[in-house]
Amino acid sequence: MKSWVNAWERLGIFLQNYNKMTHINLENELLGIRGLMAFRPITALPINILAEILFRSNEGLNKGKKDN
Amino acid sequence: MAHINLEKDILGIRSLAMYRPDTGKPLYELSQVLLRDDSPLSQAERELIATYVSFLNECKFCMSSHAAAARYLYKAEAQTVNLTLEDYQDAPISDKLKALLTIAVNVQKDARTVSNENVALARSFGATDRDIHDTVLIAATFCMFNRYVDGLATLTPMDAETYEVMGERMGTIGYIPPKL
Repeated sequence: MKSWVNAWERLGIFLQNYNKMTHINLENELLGIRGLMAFRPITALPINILAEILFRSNEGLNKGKKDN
Repeated sequence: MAHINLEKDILGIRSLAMYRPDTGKPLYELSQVLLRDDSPLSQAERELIATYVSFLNECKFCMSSHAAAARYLYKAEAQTVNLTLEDYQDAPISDKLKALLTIAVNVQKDARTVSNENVALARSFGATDRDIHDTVLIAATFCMFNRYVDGLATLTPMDAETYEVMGERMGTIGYIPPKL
């Protein structure tokens, strides 16, 4: 499992315990940002592409430096 | 002077999209989806939320350019933009938009302060899940854009005419990444 996905999941679990009710009905049980992305795939697409480029590209900082 | 070596004379976010087109493309696409695609909020209302968040972040480039786009889209009611920046609670905008702006203000300040009461008030004026979702994502996205543009000290024009031209382009052709 990718470590930044893990971080998102941990954040999601934290938020779920912190506030059991989301402000809007996401119509899914996914955690954190994954729930938002499933609610609105059209906005999820560019956000995912951006994350993919920032964390997967071989240029610039290496992956470990950015994830940590 | 920008903090990194950007294309000379290219303004704000555009210079960053030219510097790194692979990240520029999804950022422009996100702007286009959020501010131009179908939404229960009008394009002018969404530009106004982007403007207000940029104003709170004191990002001169984003605030001035999106204010110009909002003025262009509001047409005869262009003064709505300045009145909102002065005091949104007293501006000639709908109660729903005022309640959504309060949510956007809280997202900018500390997103954990968006309260059930803020959301209930927006719903009482007819806001749907989509209105609330789009408001929060526009506010969050513009916090990122504001920091991206200012964190690299991109070129920020000071004259109103430059922004007026930019606003008309944003209001007509929308958000298309710069050609290289």
